[in-house]
Amino acid sequence: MTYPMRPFELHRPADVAEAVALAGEYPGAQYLAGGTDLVVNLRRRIAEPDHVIALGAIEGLGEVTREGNALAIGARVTMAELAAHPEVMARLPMLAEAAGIVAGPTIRGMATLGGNLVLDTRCRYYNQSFFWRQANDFCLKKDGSVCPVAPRGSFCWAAFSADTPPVLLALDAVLELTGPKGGRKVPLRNFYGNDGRWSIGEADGGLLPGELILRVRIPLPQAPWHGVYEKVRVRGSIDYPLAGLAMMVRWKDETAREIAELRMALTALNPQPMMVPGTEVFSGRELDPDAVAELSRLAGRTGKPMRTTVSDPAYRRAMIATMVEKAAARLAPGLGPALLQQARWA
Amino acid sequence: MKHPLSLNLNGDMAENLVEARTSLLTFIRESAGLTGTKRGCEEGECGGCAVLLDGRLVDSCLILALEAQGKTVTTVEGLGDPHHLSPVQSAFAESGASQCGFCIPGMLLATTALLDREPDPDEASIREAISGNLCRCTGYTRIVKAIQLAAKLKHDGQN
Ligand SMILES: Cc1cc2nc3c(=O)[nH]c(=O)nc-3n(C[C@H](O)[C@H](O)[C@H](O)COP(=O)(O)OP(=O)(O)OC[C@H]3O[C@@H](n4cnc5c(N)ncnc54)[C@H](O)[C@@H]3O)c2cc1C
Ligand code: SF4
Ligand code: FES
Ligand code: FES
Repeated sequence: MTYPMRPFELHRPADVAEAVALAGEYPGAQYLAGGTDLVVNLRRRIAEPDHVIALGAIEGLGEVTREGNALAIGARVTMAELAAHPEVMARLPMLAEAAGIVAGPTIRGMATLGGNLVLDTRCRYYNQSFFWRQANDFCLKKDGSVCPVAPRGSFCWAAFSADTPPVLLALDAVLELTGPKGGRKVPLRNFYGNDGRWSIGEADGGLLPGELILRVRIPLPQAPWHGVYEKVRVRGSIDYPLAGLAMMVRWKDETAREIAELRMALTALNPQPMMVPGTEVFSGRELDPDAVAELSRLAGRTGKPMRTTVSDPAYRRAMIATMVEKAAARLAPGLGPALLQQARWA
Repeated sequence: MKHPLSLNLNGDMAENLVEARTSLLTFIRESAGLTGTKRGCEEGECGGCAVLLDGRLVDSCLILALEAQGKTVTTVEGLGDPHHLSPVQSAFAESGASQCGFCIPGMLLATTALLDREPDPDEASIREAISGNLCRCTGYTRIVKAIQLAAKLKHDGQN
């Protein structure tokens, strides 16, 4: 059952300065980029702003530029553009891969990088119509006082479920922001926080009121490196991730599978996308089945799926190890058969 | 409060006063009266509401109508009429690709967008191109066949 959205005023500023001035003038206003998250949330009355500031008429936020040893990507670049951009495909194939499996093609043509970075956290009790939520007495994150996922706590476990942030965390990207109080740069690794209500908001180091993402600057890793993104979802054609993993490795010796540096980051398993800590100890080691098993355990300690999706948390937890194995097998030539053999012995 | 909106809808100017919260889908169906564009989930999942916005395939339920100010929108009614079907429409009719028909306007537009950028797609590209359009009836086999035929018809038409 669909209720109409709550009425709001729509602004279509012509440039960034005007957009930010509007955001300063109307506290609580929300930016609208591709609208693939916000419009759904408006319709469900999860988002109820009085003012919406559309970014569609602003020029200059849609470019991909090479700057020395980094790529800078505008916040309005779409997932479809990222997935097919020659420079992104050549230099950061794992980012093109993640962008290319966001939702389905109709959404990818609208969905922007800025919106993907601050996608609202998701939960099966929250991403529902007003009618549904009302019948369920709402929940702690919006309009209610109890969290049905963990009723005795006062914490929101809604999962941050965007696909590009784990890749950008692994790549150590930096956000270029501007807002009513001026501009700043924030490493993505300091941006998110760990409560599903405000993991992309001010309370946790995320966006300050009215702040706008302008660009994402990504340092190009030192060659030779390889990175992949693995995603588990219900329907391969259109769904959000139930779990996602970015893994990248720089080789000391590729044929011997000897690691110089290995990084992993997870999405859709916690209220924020997270780097998996503790992978430094793998430098100098061979990426063999034992190392993969240890990496799986490490990732499993970071990812904490809760009952926020219709899929069982136990399934999502089990998928963490599977994603680590698949990613490692794609990165290390010849590792796949060894992993299979081990699985057969086990 | 209502705001004036004018856009190019299938070659004609469509104008009206609309609220900020009105979606492009609602504008097309209820203001312009073109009901070929379907209201399915209104959540971006089904593609029933798919239209071409400046040539790009989008879900019109996720676009605020005022965001389409001055742009060009093509709906299924803009592809052809019962007496002059477009090659894509003919191919779907000839292949018996439609059962209840609810998804078909979106499928036709997804196909049109695909063949505009890739005149000779393989089956994998075809399946990828319609993966944002859900069909509850056909199982997709005939739809894929129809798209292959559409590519051929378009090709033959040009020679
Ligand atoms: C059916 C469906 C399936 C989906 N599947 C996936 C999926 O598999 N993976 C995935 O990652 N996402 C998925 N999404 C979510 C969404 O499409 C993407 O995350 C998309 O990238 C969001 O970008 P947008 O431009 O549409 O954001 P919008 O909806 O325009 O905005 C989202 C939020 O970001 C804020 N915002 C946008 N741009 C900026 C900016 N420049 N600065 C500051 N704030 C900004 C807005 O205020 C809003 O709060 C799906 C959505 C749907 C409807
Ligand atoms: S985790 Fe709890 S509080 Fe958070 S959205 Fe889900 S039900 Fe609501
Ligand atoms: S009605 Fe728009 S995608 Fe379903
Ligand atoms: S023919 Fe019925 S939904 Fe596709």
